[in-house]
Amino acid sequence: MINDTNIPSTLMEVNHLSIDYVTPGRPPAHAVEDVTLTLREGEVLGLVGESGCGKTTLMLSLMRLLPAAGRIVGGEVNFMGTDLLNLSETDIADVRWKRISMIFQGAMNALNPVRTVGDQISEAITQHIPMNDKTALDNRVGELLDLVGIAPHRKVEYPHQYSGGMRQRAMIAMALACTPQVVIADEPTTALDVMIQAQILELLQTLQQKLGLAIILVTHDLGLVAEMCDSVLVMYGGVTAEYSDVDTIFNEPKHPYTQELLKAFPDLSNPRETLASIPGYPPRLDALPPGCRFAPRCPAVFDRCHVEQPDIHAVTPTHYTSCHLVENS
Amino acid sequence: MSKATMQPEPDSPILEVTDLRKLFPVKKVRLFGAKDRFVHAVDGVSFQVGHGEVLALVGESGCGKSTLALTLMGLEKPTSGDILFEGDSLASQNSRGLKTWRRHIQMVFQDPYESLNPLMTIGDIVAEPLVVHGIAPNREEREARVIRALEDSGLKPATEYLHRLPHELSGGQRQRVVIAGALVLEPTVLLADEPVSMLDVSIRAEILNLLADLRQKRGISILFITHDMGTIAHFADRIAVMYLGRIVEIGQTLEVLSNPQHPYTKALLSVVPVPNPRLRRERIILQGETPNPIDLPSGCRFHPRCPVAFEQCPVVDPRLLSIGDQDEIPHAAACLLVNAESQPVP
Ligand SMILES: Nc1ncnc2c1ncn2[C@@H]1O[C@H](COP(=O)(O)OP(=O)(O)OP(=O)(O)O)[C@@H](O)[C@H]1O
Ligand SMILES: Nc1ncnc2c1ncn2[C@@H]1O[C@H](COP(=O)(O)OP(=O)(O)OP(=O)(O)O)[C@@H](O)[C@H]1O
Ligand SMILES: [Mg+2]
Ligand SMILES: [Mg+2]
Repeated sequence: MINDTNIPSTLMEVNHLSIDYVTPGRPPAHAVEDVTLTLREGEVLGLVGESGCGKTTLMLSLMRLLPAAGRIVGGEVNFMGTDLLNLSETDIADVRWKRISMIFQGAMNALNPVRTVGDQISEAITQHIPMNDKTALDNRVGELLDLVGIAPHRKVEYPHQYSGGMRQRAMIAMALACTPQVVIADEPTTALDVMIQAQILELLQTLQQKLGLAIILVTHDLGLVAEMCDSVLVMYGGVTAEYSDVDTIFNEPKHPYTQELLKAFPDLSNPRETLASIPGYPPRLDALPPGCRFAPRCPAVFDRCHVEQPDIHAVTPTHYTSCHLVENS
Repeated sequence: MSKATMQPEPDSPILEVTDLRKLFPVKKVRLFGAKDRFVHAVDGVSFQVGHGEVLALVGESGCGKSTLALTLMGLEKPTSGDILFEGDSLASQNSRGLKTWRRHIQMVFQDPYESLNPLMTIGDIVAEPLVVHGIAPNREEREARVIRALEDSGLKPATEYLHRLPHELSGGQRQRVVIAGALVLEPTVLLADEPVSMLDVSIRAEILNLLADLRQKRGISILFITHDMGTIAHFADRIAVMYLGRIVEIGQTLEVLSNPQHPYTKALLSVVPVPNPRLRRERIILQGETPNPIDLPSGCRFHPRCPVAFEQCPVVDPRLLSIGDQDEIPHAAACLLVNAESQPVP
């Protein structure tokens, strides 16, 4: 989605991916349905949507790390010419962490409290790349800490001696341990203070430029997306509501959900009296409405929306949305 | 932002805080001659809140926002300084007076997921403060007040919620229950400690609008605590920016947003993400974290992180002084670059 004369090459293509969660005795929850996206080298893609809309599920599937109840029920994840969904467990191990890695949601609180940060980073390396040379390994750990802005001598400290921001930096160092090309960052700054958040984002931006990383930034903060991303995928209740470059999403959104989401977000550059809230709640994924998933809350709803689920339409070759209004116009 | 101009500094403030300090002693390590050490959580804060005013208190984690709120509620005893509520001094309250105090000043706590008892119904949760305070002892009257509080908090019809348990509600609904629990005592001041940080964007707007509404309808004064400047611009009348236990800038919301004076305020504003990719700006990212409030930096406590500090800053502790003409609502900042008239540290 980068408008450039020499378009960077495509790294990953997700085509019509659908994922269910199955629990015995209950109807399946359609957590992700028919999601298609493209990620190019060095691109920063924002994935936004309300809590429970399937963001983490979609990302876990790209790593083939879905929980036991998760089932990929359709689609493909094409990464540099191979469909990751068809790889054996041994083959996916060559991709996971080494080419695509992930900073998990809330992970900075999941560091092992009784082991030093340095040990945990060493392990993140040696689990995937055998390294017998102790000095080389130590150097690599120091190098990674330095890369994320932590003084290498602090590798001997324990997680509780780190602040929240430093723990998140350590998580980023682990995600970078095996020099991946794609880093998925799932809500990397949500629990952090604004200034620490700015530090982490600056770090991700620097790393992206320095290492040529492609990043998928998962967040519910539209401000972060506007500041950081090249392209944006807006999810609603498991489906793609809208997908385009960042400028189009913020300035010419076509899906009523994107429009409402933007109106609900406080904007310091344009303080208004009241924020528009979106009444109602997202659909239950095991009891979806028959038509468009957003219909029960949509301000522009009409009859057809309640009976027929909209397909994804191309507004332009780089702008997709799933709304009957767009198809009509 | 017409509300701010509609309600200029009222004649008599509802809350008046004067040189408030709250120090926590640090656990002593028994060494010869070791001095007592303190966490300077709130370190000399003065401000007023007007009737029906919304004052936003902004600052990084650990700057003393929650401690200030707990002290205002009479839940922490000030180390020094005083708080006046409608002219009455906190220092002069006995335990009965304190109980009344806490009925008038209510707090909405930081986390909507932790502040509700999972085993109690919504109706019982909201009624509990009435029981504790011995208000509306008769059952019908109590239920009527609970219903009013729930409906004022946007849970309509209240009868739908009375018998539910917290886990049956969404995050936004739970936060509304917390607010209802604070409203049921019909307080005149609401201390809202990060009431929306844990919530999704769409629910956040809902709660912010609810608070704005309550001020409008009930004339409640609100102290809105947050670390995110982005959430307050829409309804706060004034903003107070806190750093390491002190207020470093205070003024009318639009004035502070459009004409920030303190370098810390400027930095905080610059890192608020603006949801418009055409407005990507230069961010002033302060490195490191807030120093620990046990060993405060000398002079201006912001100088070690200040991008524009000069040689006087480590030696002179700047006072919070007004800027420009004083015919309107005061705008004040504590910075030597803004106001040279300050006291050298003794
Ligand atoms: N292991 C599981 N078993 C069954 N359902 C699950 C499981 N994990 C997630 N879900 C459901 O799938 C849906 C999508 O969850 P997911 O974690 O992907 O959402 P999300 O967009 O990442 O939300 P958040 O912003 O809160 O992190 C939710 O409705 C959730 O309840
Ligand atoms: N009971 C206590 N005993 C000792 N120190 C305390 C106590 N309560 C708070 N502090 C310290 O006082 C300082 C201010 O804490 P406070 O909780 O008021 O900050 P805050 O601005 O509310 O932060 P946050 O944004 O993280 O909620 C911190 O350094 C904190 O560790
Ligand atoms: Mg998630
Ligand atoms: Mg706090």
